[in-house]
Amino acid sequence: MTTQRDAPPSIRFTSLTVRYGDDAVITDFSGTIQPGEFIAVLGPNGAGKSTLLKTLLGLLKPSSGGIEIFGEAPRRGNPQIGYMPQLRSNASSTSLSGRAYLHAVLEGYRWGFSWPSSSRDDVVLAALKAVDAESFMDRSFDVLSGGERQRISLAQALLGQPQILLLDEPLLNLDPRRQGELIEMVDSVRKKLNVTVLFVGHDVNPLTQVMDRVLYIAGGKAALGMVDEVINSEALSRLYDAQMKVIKVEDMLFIMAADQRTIEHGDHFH
Amino acid sequence: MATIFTELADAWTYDFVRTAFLGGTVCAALSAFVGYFVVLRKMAFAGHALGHIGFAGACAGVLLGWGALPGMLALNVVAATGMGILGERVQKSDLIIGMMLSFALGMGTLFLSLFKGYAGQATIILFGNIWSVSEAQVFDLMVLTGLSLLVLLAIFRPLLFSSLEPELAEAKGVPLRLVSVIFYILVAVAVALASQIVGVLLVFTLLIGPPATALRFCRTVWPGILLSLAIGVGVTWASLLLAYFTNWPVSFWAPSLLFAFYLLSAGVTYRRSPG
Repeated sequence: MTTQRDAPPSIRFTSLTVRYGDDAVITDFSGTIQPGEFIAVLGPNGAGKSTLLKTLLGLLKPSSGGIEIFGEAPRRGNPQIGYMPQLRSNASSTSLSGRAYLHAVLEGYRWGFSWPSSSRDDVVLAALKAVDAESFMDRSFDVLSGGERQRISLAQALLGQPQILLLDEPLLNLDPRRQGELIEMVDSVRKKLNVTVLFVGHDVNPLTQVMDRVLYIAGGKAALGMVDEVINSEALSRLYDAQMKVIKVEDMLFIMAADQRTIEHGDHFH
Repeated sequence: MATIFTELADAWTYDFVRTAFLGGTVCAALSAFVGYFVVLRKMAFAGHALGHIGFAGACAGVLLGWGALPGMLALNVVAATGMGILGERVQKSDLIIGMMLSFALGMGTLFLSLFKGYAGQATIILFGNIWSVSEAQVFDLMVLTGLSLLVLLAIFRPLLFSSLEPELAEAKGVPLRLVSVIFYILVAVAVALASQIVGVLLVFTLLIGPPATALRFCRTVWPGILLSLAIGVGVTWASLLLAYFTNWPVSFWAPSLLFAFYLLSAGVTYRRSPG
């Protein structure tokens, strides 16, 4: 762990149960996440990784138990949280530039309109500089590569100097080299600003170098711990309620169900 | 050259020309401004459908003796509120909107057939007749435009934010549904006003044409809106002038000019982009 024990936790889960419709996504889960930690949020498709983020954002209420974010209940519009949604909405297909997009996000939750101002320009520019996006920030969104769009989206999440970053599947549709670049960028931002990172992904392997701990969600349950504690055959079998096998090849982890089908290696699912 | 200017000066002495220009300007401006967000939100088809729903409203208004514009505004606002409340799933569904659109056209046809002897009214509603707008009506158009612009500016930031990134906007505390309903009502008003110039069939021209062209050129928001306004108002003025001198309808000139403009802009941006 990178931070000392006496700092107040960024996030504390207390016997948390979250349901989505009739399905339990997380049942009776407790744990704490410290400031500056890099948490990989893993689990199979549809297990509830995005649901967990929605609960942290205050968009979904826990059915029982609770979450504290720096000691307070989650609420919409909490400035301590920067959120990078999955890249699939309208912005990715407009001709607006990344810079214009950040301007729209900044104070976009306030009523009324605003005249151009140099102080807002500076805030937007600083966020874009933090992700090295200056070279393409004035180019139209629809001509940017997937990696460039993700960097613009990451810059957006940094607006307002949040202390927690919630990143929903930022590696989706990126090739391995761009995945590596984005992970490095997130990690350097985390170290520079000492923000807590919850990084949702399919596959543990690209993240092993930078992450501190793993939050694994499967079978309606969640487990938080060091990678060896969480991603091993026994612990995962308990989560999935099925016979699971974790195989280590050099430094790579592969998660298999007893029927030999790879569960986790993300790209096979697309 | 001199004769053109004297003819222009001559035209300007007619009251109906001046009211047509004034009415056309405010309607085109509102459409160009609201339309910018319609294009950003990719709800052009919903805007088009509101034109057709407006046809039913206008026919009902004529039948009830309220006049076309009040009837159109009333039904459009009701339909827009419904669409805003029903949310994304309906707004982006071509099938549901298509069904509503054809149902509305059918209703309009019924109302017209009940209103015997005024087939000319149908042509005016479908294709517009800005020359016949009275001074009192222009005053109404100006008031409606002014109110709509005030509302639009009041919701400008959350509207832009939720148009680009709805999930994030919701997480940041933007009341998505409220913003959506208010915006749909603004679209309903803009559509009703645009149909005064070009008629319900050609509402698309003023609502979508200017912002679609502007978005091809402008990477930032306010310059895009200003260009959209300039194109919308400019095309309307040019159409009115051309219609005045040729006696061909405004509803021919406006879509034709915009189409030419769009082709030109598509050609320019196509040549500029390397791919």
